[in-house]
Amino acid sequence: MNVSQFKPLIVQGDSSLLLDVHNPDFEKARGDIAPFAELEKSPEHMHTYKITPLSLWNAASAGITQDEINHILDTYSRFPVPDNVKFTVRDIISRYGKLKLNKTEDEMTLMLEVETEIIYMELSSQKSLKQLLLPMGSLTFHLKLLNRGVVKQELLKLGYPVKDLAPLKDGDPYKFNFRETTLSGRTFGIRDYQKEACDAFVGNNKPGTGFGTMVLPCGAGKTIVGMSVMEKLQTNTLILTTNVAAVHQWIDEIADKTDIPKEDIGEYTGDKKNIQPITVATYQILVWRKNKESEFPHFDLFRKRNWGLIVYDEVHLLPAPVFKVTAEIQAVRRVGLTATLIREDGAEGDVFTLVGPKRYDVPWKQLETQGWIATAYCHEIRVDLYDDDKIKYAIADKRKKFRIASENPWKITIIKRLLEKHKDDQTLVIGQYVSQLQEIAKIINAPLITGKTPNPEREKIFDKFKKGEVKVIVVSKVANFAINLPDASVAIQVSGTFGSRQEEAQRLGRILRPKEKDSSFYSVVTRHTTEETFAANRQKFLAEQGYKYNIEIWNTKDLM
Amino acid sequence: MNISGEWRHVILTLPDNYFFELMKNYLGRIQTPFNKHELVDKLASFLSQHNAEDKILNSLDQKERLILTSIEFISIPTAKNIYDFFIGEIPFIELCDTLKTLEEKLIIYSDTGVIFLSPLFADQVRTEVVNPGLLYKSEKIEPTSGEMIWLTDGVILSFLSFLIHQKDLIKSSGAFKKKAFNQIELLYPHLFIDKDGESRLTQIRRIIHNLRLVRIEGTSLIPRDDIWDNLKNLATGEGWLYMVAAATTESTSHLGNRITTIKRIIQTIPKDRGFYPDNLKKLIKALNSDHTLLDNSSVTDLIDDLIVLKVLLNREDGTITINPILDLENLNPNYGDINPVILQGNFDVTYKPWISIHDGYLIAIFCKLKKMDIYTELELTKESFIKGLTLSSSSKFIELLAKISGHAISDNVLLTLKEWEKETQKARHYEASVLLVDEDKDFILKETGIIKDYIILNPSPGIYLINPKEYKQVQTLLESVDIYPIDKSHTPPTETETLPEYTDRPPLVIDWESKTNNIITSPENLEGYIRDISATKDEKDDLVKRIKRGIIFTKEQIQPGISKTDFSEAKGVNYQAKLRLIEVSLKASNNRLEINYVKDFKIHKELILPIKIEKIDDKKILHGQSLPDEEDFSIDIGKISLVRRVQTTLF
Repeated sequence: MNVSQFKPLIVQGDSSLLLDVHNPDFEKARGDIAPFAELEKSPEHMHTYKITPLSLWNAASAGITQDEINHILDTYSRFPVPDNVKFTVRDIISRYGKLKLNKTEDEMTLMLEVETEIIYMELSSQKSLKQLLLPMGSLTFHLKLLNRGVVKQELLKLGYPVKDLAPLKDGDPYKFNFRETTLSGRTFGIRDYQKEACDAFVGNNKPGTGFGTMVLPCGAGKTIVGMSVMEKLQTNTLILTTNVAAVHQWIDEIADKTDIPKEDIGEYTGDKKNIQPITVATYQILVWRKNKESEFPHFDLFRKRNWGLIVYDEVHLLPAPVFKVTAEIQAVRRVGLTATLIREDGAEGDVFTLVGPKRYDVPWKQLETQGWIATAYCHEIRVDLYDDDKIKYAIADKRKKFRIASENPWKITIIKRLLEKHKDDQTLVIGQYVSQLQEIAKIINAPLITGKTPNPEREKIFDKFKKGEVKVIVVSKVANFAINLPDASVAIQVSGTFGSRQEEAQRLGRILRPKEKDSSFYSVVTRHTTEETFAANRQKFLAEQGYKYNIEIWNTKDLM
Repeated sequence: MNISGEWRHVILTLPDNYFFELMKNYLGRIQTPFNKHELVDKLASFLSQHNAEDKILNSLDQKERLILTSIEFISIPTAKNIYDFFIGEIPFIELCDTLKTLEEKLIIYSDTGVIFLSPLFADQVRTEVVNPGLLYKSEKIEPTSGEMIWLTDGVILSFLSFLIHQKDLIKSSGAFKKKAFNQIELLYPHLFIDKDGESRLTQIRRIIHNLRLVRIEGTSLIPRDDIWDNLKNLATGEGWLYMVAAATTESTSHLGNRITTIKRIIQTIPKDRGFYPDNLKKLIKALNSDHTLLDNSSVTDLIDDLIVLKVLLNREDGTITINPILDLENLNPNYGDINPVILQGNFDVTYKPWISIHDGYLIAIFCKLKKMDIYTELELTKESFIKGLTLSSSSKFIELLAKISGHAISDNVLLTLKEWEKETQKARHYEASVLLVDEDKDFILKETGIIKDYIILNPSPGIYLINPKEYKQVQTLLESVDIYPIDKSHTPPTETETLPEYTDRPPLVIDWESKTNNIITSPENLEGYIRDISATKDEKDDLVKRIKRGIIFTKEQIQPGISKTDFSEAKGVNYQAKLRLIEVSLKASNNRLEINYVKDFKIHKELILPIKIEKIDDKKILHGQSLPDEEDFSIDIGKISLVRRVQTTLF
């Protein structure tokens, strides 16, 4: 063997897979391992995938066998595949199908069939399942339809994935078509990767499909993927998203690209409670309640129509109470959309179980290379702490230190310089602290949007920005997600939520819509402070996606 | 037959009583007056006339051949060492009997307890009798592809990174805290989990300890530069031998010899043969240069360790073989990939499996271990980098990274490292000797520059920080310009460590196929001839024994009553005979006694060195040392059922 004969894959003893990006067989191998391994990171030389129980059961549910997986590993592996990995694959996959969920004659009751007496005994003795499973003998339990999600969740925790063969309900039909030319006059077509994502989800409507999560970079058209799924299923659809602006964007997009009349698209928010065959709602309205003890009155929305599909936009932000209600509606097809399946609360497993497993994932740089998202250049600008703040910083506690560094007054001068440089570009200035943003907005004379900005006013500003009447807007974290500003090509981040990787990626995502020019993302960081460490952590996700930060140190003497 | 001067010398220097017994056996009664030189000539003539070479060699049985072979392979073949070599397969008494017979057959002789092949037969014995294939009996096997060797430079480097960058791993006693083991489990997800996992971890601990890879400073572990420099400069195979040897012992004192032994094992054992454990033990004993590897249990431990290290492999048929993958000249090949490290923009650093200590040392110093696996994952963090700066310089690290990763280091990484470095410059900690010099002397230092090469820092006039290791040189230089600094504090000199040295001994060249020996017994019907001669029963019995042992092979030798049979054995109720035999034996230093006695309804046999007889009340107690272990032994002579005098030059 010599280096030119190297195969592209290194199978590690802990079941992670390292894929050599520079190998001629890289693309082929990536395609073959993706169905049973999860992409963890994809920096420039070596991508990391992980074989997990979830990824294997996901593969098993798609009909991939253990022999096929081991054959793929053998085919691409540079070194002999460790025996323990092969064993793990065999052992874990063999668990799939040992428990099957089927319907019964009573449509409110489901039947759980287990393969062996040992498993039956084990489940019978589990405290967590006592209230949920009714032993019926003959290796069978009954459970309430309502508990379908919770039971699956609990069984997964015990290491038993359930082959869910109980049919999903179709919901009331709703016919519509995509337009060939959008209302705004552009030619419209579904991109190949969007189609692939949609097909991976719908899966010919076989048992075990019809629920799952799509991971696509910001700007790659997740909304279009959601609409493609809707178009395939032709059914009443409930779309849940993060805020009112995003609700309006969904409504506008649907109206623009499909022949669905506007009156058939309902808005269910704090302002309006209009339920139509296609309804778009916010998570906030769903989880609103009078006080901590009261019920969630808007959960009824899930039952007010015979929905055939629920779309969870920005599924990584799904609030905990919505998980609970999602557990109760497991008979409904559901799709999660996200760019960053990272939850700071570590609830990725719940997303997998209740919304559905990851059905599609594509590296950001791959879409950038293909021109589907904008080429973005990331810069980290470091500047010294303001002299007056140095003593304050030195004696502050950790949290205050971060705030002092984040609000470093030199940052405003830097923003001004950057805006001068990008005077022809649509620019977002994004930050964490409202007082800092107010000051910036005042100095650079730009409109400011924060959580307190009323929706109509927000929309007005966004509209002006889209039309180019406003070149710069200053936004708080409300703009982190689900806001579509297609023409923004520059983002300046002045402060953020500590080391949040997801926030960094989402903020970059605001400027990734493909356009004629490349995009620039600036993160302004105070040098030699705790902010630098947090910045490094924030950048991890993007660095793992192959983005490189160009670090610049700006001398304060030059800023005076 | 080589009747050389050397042989004559050997025979002539035999103890008298032994010499004459020997002569009588071959030449019959000796007429007085006699001359020892003439007797030797007669013996030589006798041996030549009777084609003794063939007769003697052909009469050797399997056991005798094995013992003669072992004498060729044991570095110091004493009776005790031969006994140990055979791992108790041959009882000591039996072994001594055989050696005595071989001595009487003139095939071996002994000099101060060490046994040699007699020059008379040495050449023939080596070509016709010595049979290593029989001694180290092995099976021809089909070589397999072998098993991956887990102990690589990468593993040691990963441990170095772990030890340096993880905090608070050791107790004040120097032992690892439980937390350290928990972390090892996480960082090494597959190396320490299977049945050999615990043994592997022990071996890693021994390597770190025996090679003195780190030293304890407070609660931190610091690599010893001198040792790592030594290791960096060794060829991969050689460095690996140091690690393997260190992994197989708890002590550093004999490491050099252990390396020699292991290297010879690897070079001697062929890849196409499987050895049964006892035969392998014999072979290792023959290859051994390490005095701690003389007893069976330590050889067994070594084999077990080498199996854990995958130097040796257990086969399903119960044999043990050398790992065919093992090639000291090409250990851990890189298959043409000259870049053993991957550095990515997200600060991930990856060792490829063929990383060497030479390339990977600085990386372990600057990067923190994330996971040890086929490709080992590390990360470059601010904390790890700053730690690295306390032990080395960033420029060396950056230069090395660029060189061995095969890619230019991305700007963001480079700039970040520089920024981290700048930050560390704002406060600095030195460990140094402080030299304070008054102004009127300081100008001498400035003018002459005599100690300028030794100054770490000159923070202000007259204050110099000097490496404590170099202070002695500085002191000498200062004295040469009439500056005599008074020691205001004393820093103990830091010891310099080096790796032990080993001797490169060639491997054994062995014909592994065992020879087929045609053993011929009693070429003539001598026993039938005895029936017809006039002699007492005892005399006849004695002659038959000698024929059976192969030391009488012609009719001319059959002369009744010439040997001292009456003094060689006493048994049963004849108390006086036993006592007399013991008393006679006590007078000759080369006599040993075989004692048979009954204990717990079983007959026990001991070979003893008699020391004295002690009278206690009405009993006579024989005191001696049991052989070969030289443990004290005492017995009431009345309880002895048989005593036999073993007269030999073996001891």
